[in-house]
Amino acid sequence: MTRVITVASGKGGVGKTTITANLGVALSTYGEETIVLDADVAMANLELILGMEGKSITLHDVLSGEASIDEAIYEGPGGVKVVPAGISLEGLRKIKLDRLEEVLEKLVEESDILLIDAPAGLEKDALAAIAAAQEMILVTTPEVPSISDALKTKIIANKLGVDIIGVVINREQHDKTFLTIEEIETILEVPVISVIPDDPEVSRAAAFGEPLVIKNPKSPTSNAIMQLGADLIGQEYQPIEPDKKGVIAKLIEGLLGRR
Amino acid sequence: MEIPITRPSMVSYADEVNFSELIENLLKKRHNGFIRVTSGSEEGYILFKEGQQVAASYERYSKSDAVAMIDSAMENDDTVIEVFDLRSSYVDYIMDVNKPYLMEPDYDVYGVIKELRKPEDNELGIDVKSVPQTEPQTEPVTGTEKTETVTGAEDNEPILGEQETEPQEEFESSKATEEEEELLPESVVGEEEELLPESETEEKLDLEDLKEKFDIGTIDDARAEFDLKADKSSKGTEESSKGTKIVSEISESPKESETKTTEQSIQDEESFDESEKQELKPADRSELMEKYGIKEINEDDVDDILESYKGGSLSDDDVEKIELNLMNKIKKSIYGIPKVKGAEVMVFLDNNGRELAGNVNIIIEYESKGFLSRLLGDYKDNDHLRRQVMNIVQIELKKGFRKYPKVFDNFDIKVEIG
Repeated sequence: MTRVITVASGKGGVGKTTITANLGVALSTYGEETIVLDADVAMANLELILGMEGKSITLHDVLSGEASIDEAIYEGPGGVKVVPAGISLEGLRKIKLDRLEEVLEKLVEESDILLIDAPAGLEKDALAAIAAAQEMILVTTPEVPSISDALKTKIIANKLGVDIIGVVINREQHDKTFLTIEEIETILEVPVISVIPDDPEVSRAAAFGEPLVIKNPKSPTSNAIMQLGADLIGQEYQPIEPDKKGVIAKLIEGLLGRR
Repeated sequence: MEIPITRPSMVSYADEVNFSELIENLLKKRHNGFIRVTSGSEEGYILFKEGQQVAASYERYSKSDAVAMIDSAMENDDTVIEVFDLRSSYVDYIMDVNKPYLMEPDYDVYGVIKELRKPEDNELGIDVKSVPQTEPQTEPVTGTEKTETVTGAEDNEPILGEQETEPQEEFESSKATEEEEELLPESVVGEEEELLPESETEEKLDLEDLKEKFDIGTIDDARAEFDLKADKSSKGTEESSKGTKIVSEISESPKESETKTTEQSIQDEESFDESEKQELKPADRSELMEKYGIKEINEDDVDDILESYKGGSLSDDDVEKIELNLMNKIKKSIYGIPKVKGAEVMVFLDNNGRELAGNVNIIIEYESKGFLSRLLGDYKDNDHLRRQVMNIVQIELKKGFRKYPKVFDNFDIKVEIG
């Protein structure tokens, strides 16, 4: 049975789209037929992160009745399938939501996992993306505004009957000014399923239009996302250790008996 | 401490750098900035202004305690040491926001560091770690501690001879204040000798436990080592070992009152530790919410949000309701126009296209007029009435689709006046 998982956050700019894109690629590399649907029509960045911008037929065209969903599915990096959002926010606002549901029904038939990148906030589009899913991953940074908005999103999702898989803490820093994992779990009353460190490699990969899990699989963020993907489907993942010159140097020194 | 983390000017492992030398270099260079020490999941900071250590923190420890903890962390080879440079003015700002971590102006950090360095200079190569521990304390450099050291030195005098005490006296003069000397008990030796056989084992255990628990005593070690080195520098190996024994006896046999104080301090530390643990326990959710100013969403807010979710989506039932509602409102407003005898209003919404659209058809029966008035200005009245009706319809549509103003452009309005 196809799993429909929405990745939502509440607050914008917490890295939700980056995580969705990379998680989609990760799941795809595990052999899961994965479709990533960019429902964030206001900030359609998924295409940019995956280097798939400028597609002629998008979700917007499908919801407008001007194209079929099959025409809007594109093959992305790592074999992940992607439905880009397009750019028209107004167009989507005027479209009936039951049409989106029809689109989702079609996508569900064609995939093992359908990942929906929900828009930030709790406007109609965001709610539609949440309501369309059976499960939800809540993304937050360890900051108060982000946690506060995530809490609202979680409560709404509960009300809509969506099962929340857990919280992904993005851009985690070892800084006492931020909330701890335990505090976040306590406030949100949802388990933390992944902690993704603050990583400059993410911005670098986005600039190249390449998902990080492919561009730099050894980075801590890539490892965390691959682990998250593995956990979602119950697979084992062996983290790829980064090259540490210092460690190697130490090892050589140790072998040579210098200490 | 609240410190901005930038790019470090130096990064090294503890086994690759001599920490005390690093501190001295920073002093010589009149360094402005800070050192971050990362040992496992624990972090410590020492802030420098013009090479002077002005503040320190290590997890829950601050000031001199933090320095002692940082020094202990250096024993771990994997401890990472990072040196960060800052502008002098920025150091002032950081000092201002980290007042709880500021060192006391008279705190002799460098003295302590020098003492820590002494064992490395031990010419005789004695395993300084085998020197028994002196009384552990939470504040490594305190008046009480200094008093103990002075006491030990006095005890050494008759055994080691006058020459041997010279370095010790130098140490005393640099460390002990007049006030501390006043605190010096006269009958220390006798009491120690009496207490030693009974309390030695227990005390040793307590001390070891305490040291293990709080990972302190390094500075005391260094102090004892300092005494030891002073002894050995002028005596032979045999005498030195004797001196070691004496120092260990002294450090292992505090007075009864001190023993009680130690026990008390252990109890205090335990109770402090318990309260600390309580603080570290995950707080209650409501407390956390209050702490971070996060408000719970009430049921009404959730319903409001979900209502807005429904707002853009129209089912067929919704369409019929809207049509009926609009018809009634427009009709009611038209009947407010003088001389309107009757009005038929029909609203048809089209929800199948890309955007919501609609038609509004209105037929108005106007009060009949006399022949003359008809000839003079009937057509003007009709135009005026048509404009009035159009305005009414537009107002009602705008009110009805307030959140979606563009929808209004998709309506076609026709008015017939009979």
